Amino acid sequence: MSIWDYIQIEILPILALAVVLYLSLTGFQSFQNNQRFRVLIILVMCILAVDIGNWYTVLKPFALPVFFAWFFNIFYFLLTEIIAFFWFSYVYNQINENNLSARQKKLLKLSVIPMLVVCLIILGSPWNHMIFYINPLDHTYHRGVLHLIQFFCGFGYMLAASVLAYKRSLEVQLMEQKKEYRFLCFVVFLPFIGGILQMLNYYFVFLWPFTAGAIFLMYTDLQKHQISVDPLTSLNNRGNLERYLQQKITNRDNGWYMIMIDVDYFKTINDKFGHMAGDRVLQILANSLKAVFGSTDAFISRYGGDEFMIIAEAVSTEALDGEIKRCRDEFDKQLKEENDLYNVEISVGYAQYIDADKTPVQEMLKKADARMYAHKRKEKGAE
Amino acid sequence: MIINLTLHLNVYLFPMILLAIIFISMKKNQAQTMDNRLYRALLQSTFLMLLVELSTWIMDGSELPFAGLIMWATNLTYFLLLPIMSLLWVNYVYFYLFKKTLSYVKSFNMVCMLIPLGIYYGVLMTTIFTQWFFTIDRQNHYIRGFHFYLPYILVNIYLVIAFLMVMSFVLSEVSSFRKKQYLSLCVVTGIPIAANIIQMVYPNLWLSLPMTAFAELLLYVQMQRNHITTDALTGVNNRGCFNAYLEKKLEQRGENQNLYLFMMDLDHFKEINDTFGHVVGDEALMKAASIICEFFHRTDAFLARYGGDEFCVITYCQNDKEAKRLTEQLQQTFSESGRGRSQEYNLSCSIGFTRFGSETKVSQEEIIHRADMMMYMEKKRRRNL
Repeated sequence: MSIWDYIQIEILPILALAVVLYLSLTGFQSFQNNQRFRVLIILVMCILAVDIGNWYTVLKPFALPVFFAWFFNIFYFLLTEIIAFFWFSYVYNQINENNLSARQKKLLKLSVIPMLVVCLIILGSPWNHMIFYINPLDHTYHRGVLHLIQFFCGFGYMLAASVLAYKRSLEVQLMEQKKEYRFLCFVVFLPFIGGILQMLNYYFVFLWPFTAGAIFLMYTDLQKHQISVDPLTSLNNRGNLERYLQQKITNRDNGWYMIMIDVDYFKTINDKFGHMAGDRVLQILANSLKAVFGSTDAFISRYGGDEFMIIAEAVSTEALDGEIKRCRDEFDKQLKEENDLYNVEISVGYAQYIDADKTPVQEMLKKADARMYAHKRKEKGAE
Repeated sequence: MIINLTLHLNVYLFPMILLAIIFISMKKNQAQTMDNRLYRALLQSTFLMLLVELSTWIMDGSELPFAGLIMWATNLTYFLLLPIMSLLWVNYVYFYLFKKTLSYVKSFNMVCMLIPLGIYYGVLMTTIFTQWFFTIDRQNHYIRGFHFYLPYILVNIYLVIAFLMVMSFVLSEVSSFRKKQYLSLCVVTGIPIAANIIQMVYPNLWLSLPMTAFAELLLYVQMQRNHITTDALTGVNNRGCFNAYLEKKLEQRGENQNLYLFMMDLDHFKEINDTFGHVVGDEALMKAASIICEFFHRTDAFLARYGGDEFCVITYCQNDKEAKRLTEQLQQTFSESGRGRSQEYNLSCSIGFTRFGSETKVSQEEIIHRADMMMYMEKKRRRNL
C-alpha cells in the first residue's frame, strides 16, 4: 500500500469529524457536556492525522530521520490513552447528568492515574523500550515487553465507561434515560470491533475510522435529543409527538389512550405573576407527569403553550382515572412545596384509539379536546 | 490479489458506516415526508454502489474457477447501477427546488435527459466485445478500457444538470436567506462532480463514492439544521431562528439602512381555539402562515413564527409610509382569503412595525418591544371600531 492509500483511508473520517466539530461549535448551546465532546472529536482527528505520519515512516523508513518514527509512535500511543480517558470522562459525566457530587469528582480525578502512569512509560520509550522501540539500523518498529499494557489501559477505560453506563441504566426509572444510557454503553462496540479486526489483520486500518463512526453516532443521538425535546420542560416536543403518533398508527397498535392536559387560567397566572411563574408552573406539571407516567412506556409531550399530551396504555378507564388522579395529587403537592401564592388546577380529557374504527388522529384529538373542555366548563360552573 | 480488496475495505467501510447511521437516524427520528424518502433512496443507492464496488474486488486476480466470470458479472453490475445514483441526485435536487417529483417534468425534456443514458447502456452491452469501458485480463485483473472516461462523463452530466438547476435558483432568488440555502446545496452538489473528475484522472484515488457519501452527510446536516430552525406546525422559521437572524442583522448595522420588523398577531385566536378545538385552531395558524408567506413571496423577507399566534417579518422598506401601506395590503389580503374551510371564522391580524436598521446601540428586546407596543395599540384601536 502506498501513502496515498492511507491518506484516502483517514481523510474521510477526518472530514466527517470536522463537520461534527463545526456543528457542535455553532449549534447546541443547551448541551453542557459540549466541551468534553469537542475535545474528544479533536483528539480523534489528531490521531487519524498522526496515523498517516506513522504509516509514512513505516512505508519509507529512510525518507525521514529516525526521530520522526519515535515521534509519531509516541504521539500515537499517548493520544490513544488520552482518547480512552476522555471517552470515559465524557460518558461518566453524561450518565450523571453532568452534575457530579464531590465524591464523584474525586473519583474521576483519581481515575486519571493509570493513564498518567502509562503515558509516562510511553514518553520514556526511547530509554526504557518497554512499550516499543525503533531499531536504529533499519528504522523498523518493534514491540516491547510491556506492549500489551497500553492496549489494556485504553480498552479498560472504555470498558469501564460501558459497565458504569449499563449499571446506571438499571438504576434510573425514566424510560428515556434508560435508553440513553444503554446507548452510551453499546456505542463502544464500534471501536471494539474495529480494534479487534485491526489486530487480526495487519492491513486493516479500522480502529480510528470506527471510533470516528461511533462519535458520529453519538452526535446523531445528541441531535435527536435537540430536535425532539422541548427545552423548558424537557418533555418531547410537538414534532416528536406527531412522529410517534404516525408510527403508532402504522404499527397498528391498538387500545391506547390519548390524554390531553391543560392548565386552567394559565393566562391569568402569566399576567398576574409574570412569565417566570408561568414557566415554573409548566415545569412542575411536567415533573409530576414524569413522576407518574415516566417509568412506564407512556409517551409524554408538550403539545403547545400550556397543553400537554400523553399517549399511554391502560388496562381500563378506571385505571387511567387513577393515574390521572395521582398526577393531580403530585402536581398539587409539588406546587404547595414551592409557594402558597396561587393554586392551579388542570383539566384532563382522553380518548381511546381502536384500530378497527379507523378513527383518524384528528378525530381523536377532537374527542379528547371536547372532553377536556367539558371538564373545564364543569369546573368553572362549580365555582 | 487480496491486498486490493483489503485496501477497498479500508477506504469504503467508513463511508458505509456513515451512510448506515444517517439512514437509521432519518428513518427513526423524522417524519416520513417526500423529500425525506428521496433522500433515503439516495443514501441507499450510494451504500449499494459501495457494496457492489467492494464485490468487484473479491475475485480480482484470483485463480479460482469461475473467477473471471464473476469479475465480468460484478463489474457489469457496477456499471449498470452507476447512473441510478446520479439520477437520484437529480431527482432529489429537483424536488428540493420545485417541491415536485421528476414525473412532472415535460416529456420532451425528460426524453432529452434520458438520451445519454440510452447511449450509455447501449455501449455497456457491447463492452464485452469492444472492451470500451473495461476488460478482465488472463490473470483475472480488472483493466480500464480505452474509453473508461465515458461512465464518469455520464454521471457528471446528470450531476451538472442538478448543479445548474440549483445555480439558476441561486441567481434568481430575491430573498437573501433562501439564496444562502440554495448556495449551500450548490456547493454540496459540486463535491461529487469534483471527486469524479479527480478519480477519472487519477485511477488510484477512489474518491468518487466516498466523497458522494460525504456530500450526503452535508445534506443530512443541512436538513437537520432546517429541522431545528423550522416551526413544525406552520413550516416557517421558528423563534430560535428568528432571534439568531435578528442578532446577525443587528451586528451588520449600517448596511441595512431600511430594515423593518413587522409583528403580527391573529385577532381572536384564543376564541377560535376554545370554540372549535385545537384541530381548527392549528388549521387557522397554518392558513395564516401561508397567507403571510405568499404575500412576501417575491421580496427579500424573513418570516418566522414568534409564539402561539404571533408571526414576525423582517424586510426592507423605503420609509414608514411604505411600511404602513404594506400592512394595509396584508390586512386586505387577510380579509379576502382568511376564511376557514366552512366559514367558521374570519382570520384577521393586527400588525405593528418598527424601523431598526440605522440606529446604533439598540437591543433585540427593545426592537421587539417597540413593534409589540405598536401592535397592541393597533389591536385596541381595531377592537374599539
